Amino acid sequence: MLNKLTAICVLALGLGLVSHASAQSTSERLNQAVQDYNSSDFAQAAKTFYEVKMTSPQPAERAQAEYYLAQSLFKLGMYQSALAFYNAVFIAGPAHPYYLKGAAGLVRVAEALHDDTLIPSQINKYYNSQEFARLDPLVLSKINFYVGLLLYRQEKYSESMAFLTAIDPKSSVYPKGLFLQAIIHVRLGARYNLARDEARTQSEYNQAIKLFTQILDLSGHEKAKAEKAVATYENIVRLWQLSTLNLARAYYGKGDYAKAATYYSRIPRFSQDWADALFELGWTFFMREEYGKALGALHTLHSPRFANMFVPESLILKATIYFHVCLYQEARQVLDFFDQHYAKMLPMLEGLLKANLPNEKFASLLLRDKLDTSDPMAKVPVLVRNSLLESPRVGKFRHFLRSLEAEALAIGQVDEWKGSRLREELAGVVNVQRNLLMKTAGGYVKANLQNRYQTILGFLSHAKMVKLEITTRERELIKAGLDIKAEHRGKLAPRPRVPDETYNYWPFRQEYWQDELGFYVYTVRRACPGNKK
Amino acid sequence: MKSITMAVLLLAAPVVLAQSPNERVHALQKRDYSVKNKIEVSGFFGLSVDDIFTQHYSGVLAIDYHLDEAFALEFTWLSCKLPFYMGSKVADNPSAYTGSWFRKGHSYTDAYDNLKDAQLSPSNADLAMISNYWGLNVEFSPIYGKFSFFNWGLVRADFYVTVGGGLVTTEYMRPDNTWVDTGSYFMGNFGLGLRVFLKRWFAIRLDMRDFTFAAKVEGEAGPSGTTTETKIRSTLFVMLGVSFLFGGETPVEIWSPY
Repeated sequence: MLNKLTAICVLALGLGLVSHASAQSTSERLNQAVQDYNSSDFAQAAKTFYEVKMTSPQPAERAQAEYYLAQSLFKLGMYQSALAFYNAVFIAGPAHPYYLKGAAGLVRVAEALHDDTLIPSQINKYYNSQEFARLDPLVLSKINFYVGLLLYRQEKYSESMAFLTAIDPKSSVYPKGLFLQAIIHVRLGARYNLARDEARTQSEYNQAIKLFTQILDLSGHEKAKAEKAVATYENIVRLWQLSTLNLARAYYGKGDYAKAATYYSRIPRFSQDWADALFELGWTFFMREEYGKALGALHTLHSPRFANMFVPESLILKATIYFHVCLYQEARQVLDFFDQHYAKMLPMLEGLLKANLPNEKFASLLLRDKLDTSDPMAKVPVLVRNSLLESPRVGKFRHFLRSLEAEALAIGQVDEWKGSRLREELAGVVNVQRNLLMKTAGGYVKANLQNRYQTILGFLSHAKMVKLEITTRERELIKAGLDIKAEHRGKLAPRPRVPDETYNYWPFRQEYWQDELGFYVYTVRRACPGNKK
Repeated sequence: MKSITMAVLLLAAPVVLAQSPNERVHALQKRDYSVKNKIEVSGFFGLSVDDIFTQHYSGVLAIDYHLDEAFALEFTWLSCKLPFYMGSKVADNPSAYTGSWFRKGHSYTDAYDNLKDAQLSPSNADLAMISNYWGLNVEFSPIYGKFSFFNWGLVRADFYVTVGGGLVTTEYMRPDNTWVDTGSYFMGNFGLGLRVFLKRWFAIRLDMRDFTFAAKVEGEAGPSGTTTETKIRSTLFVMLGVSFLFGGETPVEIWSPY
């Protein structure tokens, strides 16, 4: 018994000595790691910080090593690896001495990875308003923006507004916050419009207009101020264009089609949003009963420049306009074109969606530039694929994937980490994230293919209704003893008046000149019965 | 008017977009090369092309003010010889002088030499050559067009007519190779031109101008002395040059947020 006690005492003493020796050792190693970090030897620093984090008996040392490990990895451009450790710091909560710095680290990684989904979701989950009040206001603004964006996507509009309105006007994301607030007002306006609540509809759209105008006013409408705004705010030039487009949409929602047309026309030709503006301008002119201009806007949209765009609704709009001006043959021709080019996609899309493919199988549509013929995604029509690739989220997915692939390669190439546990752990982190990304991207593709399928299906039934209406109208024409051919009913309207000498007139003769795109106007035969002019 | 299509910029339209007889499509395009209120400074090299006996080479400076997109006023200085420089006087003939280097370029054609070989001589009026001309023209551009060469780009063009008049000095060379200054008088001109815009501020110009003047020269010597002969002369110039445009409206820049 005594022997056993002695043995235990010796063992305890021994362990104590070992522990003391180890504590000394980790503290020295921590100092060494800090020196490496300060001399920009981040690979060596990361390795040592990792060892200290794993072996130090001192919680304070472990905490410091954990945060600086994340920092070292960030400096090495290994954002996903850095994320793992910033996240560990952050979710440890305010008890962790580097809690707020961890939160700021997460924001930096989100920016570097262009991630506006996963990291914001994590921050939102552990959002601590009391603690975050101690953060740098500019960092907090970014957190508020990301969380606001996340909540907006979840359609939690009032919660999202609370975060977005808390963004500091000096923050680089201030205009983005204003923009999201305005978009929320537009969404609410559309919602009230559906519920036929006119007063609230107008109120929401008015608030949206005020906010969009506020974003445009950040330019000061003069060169020097605009350049300052460009240097201060993230992506402000793009936001100016988007605000213009959305001002047009807000006026359209309010029923002010004249102003809507004005703002749609301000979208620069050949810019990213021009196709959307042309299509919506077509609707705006249709609502103003300016059918010639509406057909003109669609004429550009249907030019070879936009040949690979997914625009099924524009064909339905075109057929509807022809229907309104009693050009039934032309309306039928457009609907036939819709059948040939869009309706025929339905069986293939349906087949893909019902094939029970795992999400990862869909990801190649976004992430691969060239698809093998054996890949089921190779069957997706070009128009549909292009419509998916246009989304800014696709760019983010691709950036994320490329970043992960580069990081996996970089981890394998750091000599200091050969055979270390750090390398194994980081490789594992990146691999897990890559698989997750494939699943997320695949899910995104699948949801969008489903959306395109439903869109075409919806317009197909609309096309059928228009065809039925055409048949009814043609029957009425015959009953009234009128010629079914529009050529024999009414005269062609004269060519449009040239507004002034700053305009050039060109007749369109079946060839598209690039400089004429966006300037087309139709004149049509006045073919409706009773139209004597 | 779409003038000459060298290549179609975009491909033919899909079937659904084929025009039906019940519709017409027009492009009402905002001009992207407005010339209104712009000042255009042009330099040309000119060549006479239709004279039987004479051949002119000239430099031309033109300054246009564009009143609007269609009308412009143009000041022109056409010079075949250094202005006001008369060479060396011939002692026995105060109106004659020698020297040729001061002319930028001239020659009498083979027709003149052939006549001389045949002991014949054209009238002095036919030999009168323009030395300098200063004038004002009015330019009218009723026709515009554009060109595309194999999809390399698009250039725009204005076709114009021009008419005007001004002061001209002329000279002719006698058989003894001395020059005779005929003095200065009015000269009218009309012409056609093409201005091809390569940039908003830069264009190439091609002009054809017919200059008409009444050449007053020494006639044949008679009993009562030397007579004065007057003949209406017309000289067609082809002029090729470049022009630079200044002022007018400045294009909208990116910072002007829509």
